[in-house]
Amino acid sequence: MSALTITGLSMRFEPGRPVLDDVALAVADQTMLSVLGPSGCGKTTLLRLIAGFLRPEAGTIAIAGQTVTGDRAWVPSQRRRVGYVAQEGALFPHLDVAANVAFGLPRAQRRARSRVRELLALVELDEDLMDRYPHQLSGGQQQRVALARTLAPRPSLVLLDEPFAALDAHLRVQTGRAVLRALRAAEATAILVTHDQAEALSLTDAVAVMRDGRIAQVGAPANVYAAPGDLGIAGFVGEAIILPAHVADGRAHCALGSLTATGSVAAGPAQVLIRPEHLILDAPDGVPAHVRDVTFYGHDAVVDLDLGPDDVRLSARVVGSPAPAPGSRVSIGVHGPVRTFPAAA
Amino acid sequence: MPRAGRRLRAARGGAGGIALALPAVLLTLIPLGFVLQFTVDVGPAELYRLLDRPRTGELLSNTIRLTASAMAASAVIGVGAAWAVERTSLPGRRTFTVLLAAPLAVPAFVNSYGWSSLTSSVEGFGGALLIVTLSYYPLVYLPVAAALRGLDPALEDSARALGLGPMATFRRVVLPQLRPALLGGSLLVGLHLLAEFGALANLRFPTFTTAIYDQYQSTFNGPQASALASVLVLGCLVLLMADLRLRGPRQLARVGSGAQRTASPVRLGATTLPVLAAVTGLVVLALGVPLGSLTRWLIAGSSTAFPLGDLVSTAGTSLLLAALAAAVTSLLALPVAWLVGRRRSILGTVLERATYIGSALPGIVVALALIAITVRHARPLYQTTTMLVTAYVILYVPRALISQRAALAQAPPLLDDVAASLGAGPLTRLRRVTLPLMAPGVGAGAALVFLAVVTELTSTLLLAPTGTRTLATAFWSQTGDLNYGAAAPYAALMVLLSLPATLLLTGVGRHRAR
Amino acid sequence: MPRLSRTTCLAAATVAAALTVAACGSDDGGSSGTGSPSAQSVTLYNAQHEDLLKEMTDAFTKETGIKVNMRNGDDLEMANQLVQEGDRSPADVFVTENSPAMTLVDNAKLFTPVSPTTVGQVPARYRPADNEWVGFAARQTVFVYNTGKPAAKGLPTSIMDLADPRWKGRFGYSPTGADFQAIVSAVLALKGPAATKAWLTGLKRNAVAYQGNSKVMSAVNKGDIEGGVIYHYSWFQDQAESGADSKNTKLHFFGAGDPGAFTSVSGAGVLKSSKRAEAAQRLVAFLTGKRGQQVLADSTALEYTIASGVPANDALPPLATLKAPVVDPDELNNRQVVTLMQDAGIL
Repeated sequence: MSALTITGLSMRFEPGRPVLDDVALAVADQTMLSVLGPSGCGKTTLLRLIAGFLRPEAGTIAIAGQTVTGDRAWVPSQRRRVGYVAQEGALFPHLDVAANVAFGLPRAQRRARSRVRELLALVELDEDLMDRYPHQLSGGQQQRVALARTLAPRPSLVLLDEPFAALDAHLRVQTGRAVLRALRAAEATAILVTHDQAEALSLTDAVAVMRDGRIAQVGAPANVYAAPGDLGIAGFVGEAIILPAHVADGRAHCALGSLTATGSVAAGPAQVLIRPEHLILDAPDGVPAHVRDVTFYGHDAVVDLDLGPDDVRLSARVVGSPAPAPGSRVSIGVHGPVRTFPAAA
Repeated sequence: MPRAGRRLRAARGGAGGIALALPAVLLTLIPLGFVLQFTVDVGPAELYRLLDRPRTGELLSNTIRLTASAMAASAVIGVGAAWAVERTSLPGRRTFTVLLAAPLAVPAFVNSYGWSSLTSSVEGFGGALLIVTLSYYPLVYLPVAAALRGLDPALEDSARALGLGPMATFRRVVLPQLRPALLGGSLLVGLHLLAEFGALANLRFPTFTTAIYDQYQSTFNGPQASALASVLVLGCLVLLMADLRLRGPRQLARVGSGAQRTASPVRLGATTLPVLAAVTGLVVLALGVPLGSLTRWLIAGSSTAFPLGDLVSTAGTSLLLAALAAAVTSLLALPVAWLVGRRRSILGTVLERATYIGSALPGIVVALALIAITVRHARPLYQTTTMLVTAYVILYVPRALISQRAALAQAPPLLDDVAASLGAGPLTRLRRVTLPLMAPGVGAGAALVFLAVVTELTSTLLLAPTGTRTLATAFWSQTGDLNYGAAAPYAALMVLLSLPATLLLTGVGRHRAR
Repeated sequence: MPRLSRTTCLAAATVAAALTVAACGSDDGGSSGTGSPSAQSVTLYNAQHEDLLKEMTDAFTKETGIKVNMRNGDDLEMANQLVQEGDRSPADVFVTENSPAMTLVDNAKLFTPVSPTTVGQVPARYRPADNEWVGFAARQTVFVYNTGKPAAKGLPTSIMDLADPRWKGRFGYSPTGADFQAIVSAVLALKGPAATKAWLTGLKRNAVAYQGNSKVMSAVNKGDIEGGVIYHYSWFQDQAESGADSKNTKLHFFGAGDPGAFTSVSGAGVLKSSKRAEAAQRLVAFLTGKRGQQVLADSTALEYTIASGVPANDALPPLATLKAPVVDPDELNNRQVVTLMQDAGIL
C-alpha cells in the first residue's frame, strides 16, 4: 500500500505563475523518497501542502489510504500524523531538548523521560543534552533533536525540508547518515526535499526530480542517474558531457569517435550524454587530446581536456594516481555505452 | 491571485480572529464616534469659525513642530543611548541599561513641575521639547535596545568584512534592522504628544490638546472642544499612515541553526569620555532634575506632611487599577496583535490601526465620550471601576499592541506549523508555542500600560467611582492647592510604584533563549 | 515544565482580574449607579479646593450624621460632566470655585432652586436673581507686584490700564482658566463689549500667559515679570506656608468699583435630578450657615466668607473695604465672553 498518493495537485501564489502544476506522486510504505530540484521549483510548497500548512487550488492528497486534501476533504495538520523537519530545525527556543522532543507526545507521556531517552538514542544523541536549550546546541545536534521530536508521536509520514542545507559538508554527510538510520529503525516512510543531488542519490530509495512545478522523472537513484528522462535532468543529477552526434546502426558518431549507443534515438542526428567518470585517458585506440588543467581532490581528480582541432573542451573524472600532468597528451576512450537524446532544435 | 486560493486561506481561522479582535476596536470607536458626532453637531459654519483663527494656526504649528521634533529627538537619543549601552565598551553599561530606562518611572508632569520649579527659562517650544523628549525617549530606547540585543552580529561582521567602517555599518546594516523597533517607539511618542497635556500645562506652549482643555475650561465650549479633537484624529491618521508606509513588508524572525554569538563591543578608546559624559548627562537631565526637585519639595515647604494612611490607600488604589488595566488591555490587545502578525489582510490592518486613535485623543474627550454613552445606555456601569478600566484600555491599547506585535514578529510562524505537524491544535499551539514565545513582549506591553495608568489623571477624575483617590489625583489635588510639599510624597510614591515595571522592561530580551 | 505552569498562572490571573472588574462594576453599580435614596448620604461634585470642602463637609457630617461622598475635579470639567450626565447624574450637590461653571449647569436647567432659608443667609449680590444656586465663598481679584521692580512705583489704577502699550511684556495672567474668565465677564458687564474687545486685544499683546495663578505669582516673585493678575488667596496661602513664591511681592487692590476689584463667587447648588434633595438642601444650607462659614474662616484656604454675617479670616483685609463693583452673577453667564476671548486669540 502507498503511504502517500498525490494526484492532480496544483497551486499558484500569483496569477499565471503556477508553483505546482498537476503534480502526481506515490510513495511506497517504509521507503524514503527524495524530491530533487533547483530552488524555486516548488518542492517546498509540495511539502507544505502534504503537511497541511497550505491548501491547494486543485488535487488530492491521501496519506495511508485516507484522503486528507481533496475537493471536499480537509484534515488539518494536527490530525494528519505527518512529521515535519524544517531546514533550520525550528526547535522551540523556549523549551529545553527534553520538552522539545516530548512536545508531540500525549500529556501523560511528556513527563516520562524514558521515551525521550529512547528517541535521543535513536538519533544517536547523548542523553546529557536533555536539559540544554536549543541555542546551546550545534547545528547538527539541533537537526537530530528536530528529527527525534518529529519521530516521537510515531508519524505515518516524515517530511524533511532541506534538513541538512545549513550544515557544513562534513556534518551534512554524518548527520544525513544518522537521520537515515533513525528513520529506518523507526520504520518510517519519509520524503526528503533537497537541491543537493548527492544527498538525494545517496540517502534515499527513490528520487523524484522536480522542475518548474512538475515532476519530471521518478525512479531509483541509479536509474535516474544512468537513464535520465532528458538532458536537463541529466545535468541536474550529475555532471554531464553532452556532444552532438549522428546515430546509425546502434552506434553514435561524435567527437570521441564511434561509440555504442542506447536510448531514444535509433538513427539520425542526436546528442549523446557521457558522464565524466566514464572517460578513459589511456585508451589504446582513443582520440588524442591535450591536458589543459588538473584539479586534484585526493580520492579522485578532474582533468580538463582540449580535444582535436574543433576546440571541443570536456572534463574527465579519474580515480587513482598519478593523474596526467598539465600540458601532456592523452588518448581518450569511453567506458560502456552512451545514452542518446534527440538533437538540439 | 485567484479568488479560490485567497478565500481558502482566509477561511483558516480568519473570521474567529477578527471576532476576537473586535472588542478592542469597538472600544476605541466610542470616542471617535463622539468626536465625529460633535463635529457634525457644531456644523461647518461654526467649525470654520473655530478653525479659521490665528490661534488655530498657532496651535497647529505648535503641535506639528513639537510632535515632529520630539519624535526626531527621541529617535536620535533613544538609538544613540541604546547603541552606547548595547554595542560599545562603555564603562558601567549594566547600570546605564537601567538608568536610561528609569525616566519612564517619572511621570511627565512631575518632570515638568520639577524643571519649571528649577528655572523659569524652561518654557515655550524649547522647554516643551526638552521636557517631553526627556520623558518619552525611553519609549524608543527600550525597543531599540531589545532589537540590538536580538540582532545577529554576523550581519555586522559581514558588513565590516566588506570594508564598511563602524559608522557606515551602523547606518547601512544595523539601522535598517532596527527600523520596526524605531518606528514603533517613535509612533508611541508621536501619539502621546498629540494627546499630551500634563507635561505641557506649565510650559506656556499651547498645543491642540491644551487648547481643547482650555475650551472645556470656558463655559460654553464642550461641543466645540470635542469638535477640535477631530483635528487630532486627522493628525493621528497621518502618523499611522506614515508608519505603515515606512514599515513595509519584511521578514524579521530569525530561526538560525547553531548558536548565535553575542556581539563583541565596539572599543570606544579616546571617545570613551565624551560618550560617558553624554550618557551621564542624559541621565542627570532626565532623572536627576525631577528627582532632585522632588526631594527639595519633600524637605522644604511647610505643607509637607506624611499622611501615612492616605498615602498607603491611594498607592494601593493606583497599584490595583494599574495592574487591572494592564491585564485587561494586554488580553484585549492580543487578538489584534495576532491578527496583524499572523493573518495579514487589509481588514486586519484597518482594525489594528483603528485601535490607535483613542490614544491620540485627550483624556478628557475619551472620558466625556464614555460618560455620554454609559449614562444613557449602561447606567449601572457609570462611575464604576469597569468603566474606568475601559477608558484606560482605549487610551493605552497601543502600548500593549506595539510590544506584542514586535514579539510576534520575532516568533517565526514556522514554529506554529511545526507544532501543528506534531498534533497540536490551534488553541494548544497558542498556549504551548505562541504565547510563551510572546511572553516577554506581552509583559513589556503590560508594564508600559501599567506605567501610563499610574500617572493618568483626567479620565480617573471623571470616571472613577466617587471617593476613589489615586496617587495621580491626590498629587493633582495638592498642586491645585499650591501645596508642593504636600504633593511631593504622592509623586515620590508614583515613582516608586513605577520602578518595578521599569525594571521589568529593561530585563526584557536579556535572558531570552534563542 | 515550569513554562507551562507559568502560562497557566498567567491565564488564571487574567481571568481572576476580569472577574474582579465585573465584581467591582456590579458593586459600584449597586451603590452609586441606581442611586437608592438614602437620607444618610449625599454625593457632592466638588470643584472647589479639596482640602477646604473636606473640612466643611466633615463638620457637616458631624452635625447632621449625613455622610458626604465627595468627587473632586475642576470647575468646567465637572460642569461639562454634569451636562453630559443630564437628568441621570448621580450628583446631589455641585460646588465650584467660580460662578461661570454654575451658570453652565444652570443653563442646562439642571438645578433646583435653593431653599428659602438658605437664600436668606446669602446677601443678594452673591447669588443669581433666580436663586437656582447661592454663593458660599468669594475670592478677590488683585494685582500682585514685585517690590523691587518699576511697577511698584507706578501701579495701575484700573485693570483696564493693563491694555496700555506701556505695560507691554511687564505683567502676567492665566487666561485659560475659569478664574480669569470670571474677571473678563465682570469687565464685559461693567464696560460693554466694545471696550472689552479692545481691552482683550491689548492684553493679548501685552501680557505673558501662564497656566494657573500660582505660576503667575511665582514668576512675579522671581522677577520674570513685574506684576500679574491673580486672586488674593494664592498670595495669602503662600505667605502662610513658606512664602517661597511670594516673599518678594505685595498685593495691589484696585478698589473704587473698578472691574479689577471684582469679587468672584464660589457657588453651591442642588441638582434637580437628586433623589436625596432634602439632605442636599441641608448641605447647601450648612455651607452658607454660621457653622459652615466659620469652618471656612478658620481654614487655611483664606477665601472670603460671604454669608450669615461670619467675618473672614483675620489675615485678610475685610471685604467691605475693597470696594468691589456690584455685578449680578447672572450677568456673568454671557456666551459673548468666550467668543470675545477667542476672537482676541486668547482661547
